[in-house]
Amino acid sequence: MGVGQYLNDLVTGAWSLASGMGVTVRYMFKPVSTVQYPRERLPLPEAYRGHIELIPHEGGHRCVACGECFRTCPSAVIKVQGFKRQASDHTRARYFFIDYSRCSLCGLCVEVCPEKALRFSREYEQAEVSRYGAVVDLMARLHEGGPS
Amino acid sequence: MLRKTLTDDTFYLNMGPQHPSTHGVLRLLLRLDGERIVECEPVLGYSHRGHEHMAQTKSYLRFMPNPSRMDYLAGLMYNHAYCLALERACGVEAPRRAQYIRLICAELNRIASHLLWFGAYLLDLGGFTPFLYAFDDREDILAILGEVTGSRLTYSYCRFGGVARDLTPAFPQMTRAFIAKLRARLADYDTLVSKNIIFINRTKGIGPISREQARDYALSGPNLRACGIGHDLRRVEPCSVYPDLDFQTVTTNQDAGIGDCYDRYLVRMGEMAQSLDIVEQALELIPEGPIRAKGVPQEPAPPPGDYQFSYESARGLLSIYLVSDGSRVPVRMKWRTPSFSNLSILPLLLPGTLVADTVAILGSLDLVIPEIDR
Amino acid sequence: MNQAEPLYELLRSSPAVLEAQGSQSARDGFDLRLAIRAKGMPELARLFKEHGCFLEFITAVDHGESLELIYVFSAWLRPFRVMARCPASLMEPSPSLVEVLAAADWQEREVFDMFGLEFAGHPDLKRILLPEDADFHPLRKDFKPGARHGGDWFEGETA
Repeated sequence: MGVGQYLNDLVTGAWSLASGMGVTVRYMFKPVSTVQYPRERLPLPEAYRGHIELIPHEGGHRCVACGECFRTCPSAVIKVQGFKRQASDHTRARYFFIDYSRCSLCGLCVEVCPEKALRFSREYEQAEVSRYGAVVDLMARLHEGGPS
Repeated sequence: MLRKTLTDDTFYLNMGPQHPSTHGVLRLLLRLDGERIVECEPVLGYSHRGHEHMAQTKSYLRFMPNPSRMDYLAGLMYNHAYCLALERACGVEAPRRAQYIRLICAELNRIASHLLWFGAYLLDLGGFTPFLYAFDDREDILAILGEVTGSRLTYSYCRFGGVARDLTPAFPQMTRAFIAKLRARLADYDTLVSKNIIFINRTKGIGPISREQARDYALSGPNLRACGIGHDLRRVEPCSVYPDLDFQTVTTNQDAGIGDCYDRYLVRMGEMAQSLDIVEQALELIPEGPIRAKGVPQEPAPPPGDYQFSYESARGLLSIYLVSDGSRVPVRMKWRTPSFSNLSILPLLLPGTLVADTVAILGSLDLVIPEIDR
Repeated sequence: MNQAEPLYELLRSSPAVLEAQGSQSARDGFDLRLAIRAKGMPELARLFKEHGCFLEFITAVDHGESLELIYVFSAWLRPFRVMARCPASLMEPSPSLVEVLAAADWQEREVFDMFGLEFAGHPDLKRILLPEDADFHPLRKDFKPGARHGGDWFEGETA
């Protein structure tokens, strides 16, 4: 390698580092893109998928406990049980539990529901100390008018 | 396992399974002579979850969330490929609008995957700044995809015969703003990284792959295109609406390209620009209409026989091989994932190189370990 | 199906091939399907290699009473996909393709891992995805997950 080549490499190398540094310096004066999470929050998109919940409907819900959702669920996280008040009544769901720890949020249950009784909730801070904490009682949630 | 004789002066080094630069849980068993590698053996299977077995025990519909868990960096593409495979096997065609939506989302996902690779690769090589820029850009893509799919990583958005949700009115505008922003950023990355003398010295001439080796080891994706072979399934066997779009396959120069780490870097950067063009065109072409095919059974059940479908994922040739007996549960579903083959060339590339170059070579192959292990 | 492909005629006339079938519909994704003798596979692989094809994957299918090996070859820059199938047996190893195509190394190890099919002439046939001490082959139809299989990875929760 000749001296000329060596000097050339030296100059282009140093120039590449300096121009790269230039980019960094330019970004120093651009707006900050970090969001300081617990104090600042980003808006959730409209399509956001949290765990499922029952849609409130005339003081109750529309679920008839047909079982389509738990048959479709890939991870079998849904348990739903219905009852009839008297023989001539339609079945209504009384218990609706999901084990959120195994839920993959695929949304198949929401899609297959013939009564359109389910939707995605907008919860996203769901740390629990025990795996049993991830079992969500959707009926209790519906009656409390849970956070949503 | 690797063997050595007693008089041998070499020693072993275990890289992984918790090494940060293996991007997952890959273990590399290296036999070293001083600082030089004599032999290398990748040990796989640390995140094997048995997706192929799960496929045999679930119905096609219930397997829907699984594909995006294989390659979590390009989940939408796996989702897309799975739906296309099923649709072709069942003879169903999704509406044009749904096909365009899927394509746009998949290409955005490809950019996100390459951006993450770019950031993480530079981090492996010791540059922290590009990592932050890349994640900033990737965040924009995740916000766009979150707007459409409602999720940020494992989307399960494509459905048999369509997509789960229609685009929101804000989507085209967000995407166009992002395209303009990333184009400016790519120029910055060029100044910051591609021309950087330290980066060039770390990657140029490191880990070259010849065309014969690439063929022998069935390399695919950007790693193959870096060897100067313009084999891109989006052009060779175009699926969905790819034939409507105008784009050129990104390769290195046939003669100058030697398939080293730098070439692989250049190809991926070129593909990001290419995907931006594709998304821009597709946004113009997207028609109005329904997003789910009418009269499609909820549970797909292909007629008896076997079906094969290939797709160009962010990492290369993804093949799905289905054997159906006409029921709702497949007899066999084989996933040929690109990283599995791309990693198999590593024992050939490493001997003779330095330990520091291992990181450069391994990173440049763009491996996603859960996809290898499945 | 691309009729101009010169390799198709060669494949049809190869002695290793028992039966060759063009694609029946656009739906299955293969241009040519071959039924072959397992013994003839290395020879066929050599033919593919000479004509610039690569090995896309090897897999097996358990049909319950019989096992079958599937080899898929593809080529660069042109739509080309040929599938070769041959019956396989747990008793009798099939010839390995590692000598011819290096890509077969890991593919055959995976088939061995998942189905227990052995390949004669493979330099290092051992498990690839499952732990070395596993004593089952999960993709065989007689495998029951949840039952104890030697080790205790299935202990605790079984769905």
